[in-house]
Amino acid sequence: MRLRGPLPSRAPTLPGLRRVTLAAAVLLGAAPAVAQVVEADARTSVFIEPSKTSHMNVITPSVTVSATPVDVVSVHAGYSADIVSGASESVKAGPQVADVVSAASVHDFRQVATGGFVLHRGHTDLGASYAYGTEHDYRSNTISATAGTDFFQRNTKLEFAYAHGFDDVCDLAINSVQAATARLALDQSKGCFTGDKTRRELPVSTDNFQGAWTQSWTPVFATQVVLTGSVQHGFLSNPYRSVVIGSDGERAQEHHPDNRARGAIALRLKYFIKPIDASVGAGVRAYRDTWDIISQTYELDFDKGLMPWLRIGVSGRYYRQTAAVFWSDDYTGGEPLNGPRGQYFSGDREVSPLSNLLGSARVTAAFHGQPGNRVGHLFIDFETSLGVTFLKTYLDNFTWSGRSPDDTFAMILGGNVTGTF
Amino acid sequence: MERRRTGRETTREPGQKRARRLLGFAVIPLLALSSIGCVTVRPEQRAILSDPKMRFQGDPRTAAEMDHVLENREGSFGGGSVEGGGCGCN
Repeated sequence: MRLRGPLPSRAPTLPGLRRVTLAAAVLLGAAPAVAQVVEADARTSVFIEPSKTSHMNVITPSVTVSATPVDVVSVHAGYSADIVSGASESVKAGPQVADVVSAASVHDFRQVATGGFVLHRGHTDLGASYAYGTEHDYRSNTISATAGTDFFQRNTKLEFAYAHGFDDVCDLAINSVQAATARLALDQSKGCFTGDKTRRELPVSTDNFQGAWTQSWTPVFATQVVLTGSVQHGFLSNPYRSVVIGSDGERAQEHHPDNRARGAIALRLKYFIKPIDASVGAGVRAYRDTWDIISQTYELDFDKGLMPWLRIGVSGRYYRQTAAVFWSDDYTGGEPLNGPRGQYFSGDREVSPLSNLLGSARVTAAFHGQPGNRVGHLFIDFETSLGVTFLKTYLDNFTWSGRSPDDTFAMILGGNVTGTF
Repeated sequence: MERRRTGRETTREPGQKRARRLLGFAVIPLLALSSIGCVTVRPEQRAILSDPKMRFQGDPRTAAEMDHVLENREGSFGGGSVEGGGCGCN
């Protein structure tokens, strides 16, 4: 069972490419010097979304191990899980319909394993990775490739990434012969991916592209421009969600378009203030997709060193989006018969107009040793951090039968331990 | 004569504007890239840029965790930070 939002968003994303891999090591060129550095990272985050009717808790433990057996190759392997418990509404209705919305309990266990390698040659890195994700009602496979190089005395860095996801989502088999307005929502994940004749698997493909240009302008000032494109095709709805589409309460499984092309551009600045041993950062992002969602994001961050081994970071973020062209809080009448609101119907708050306000703080302790003088007699480097994030969502036009959702505030606690041997 | 000339100018104007705009799009990045060659930070000056506090969006794994949360709560995607900027290059 999913939290909320389009299913393909669960696939590993391009930033996740960094958490690559298990590897087939291909050595390049002449025999290199032996490096043999191993880094292990263990972390957990706890997501808490309180609500009277639809609270949600997600615990996400993960572990990543990377090794550089020789200078030209790094290999990586990782595992993460989402342990989900709580409650979620499965029927979306607008204010014109009597309250038919009730929350059902949700329990799920999602696991992702990743593996890959990165080849280093001079100023250039080439990487490849594979990730496999599984849960009761969803399977995901992602292959990805990355390339990065720097030049102009390492002041300019260009990075490119491509990822292809080929996933499957579970649905009711009977829906294959039904019109969209007569399809039933999946009631439970039992029988999915088992060959059960009452279930079917629907494909979802995702192609993500990303390019980034990072530039150091002065010894204390750097900028970054990131361009992202994505094309999705397949079943992009939530199979569990029903939407009331008739004034008498007739409902049908959520129905989103099968195709979606998405584009984003982000610009970030980072400046170091020497007298106070701190950095300030700012970022803006613009986004648009073929569902006509347009969004803007503004970020500010501040990182300060408190002691040589201790630093604190705080950040804030404001996000605002418009609705998808087919979005309506109420599909029971008054909408054009032949418009996109008649053809598609959604109960997903992610495609409604909304804004988010996010604030976070993190404390990090980092210790650096030497091969002959290790931290705790074990680590070359050791780092641990604790963080808290608050997220508040403001929904402009989303109700459960006219009632405003009360699960619009979330808190995320996270911590990690990273050691290099 | 005057009229014909005006007419030609009128029909060419949108095309010329478009060409000028396209030229601008092509030239501005080239100028920016060429100017980079003049603005260099020498390897011995990179200590601050290599500081973890200069990483865009902080720790990459923590940023990826947050992306995972936000992608389940927003209709947008992409533009996330990639590694870079604070590279310990020297």
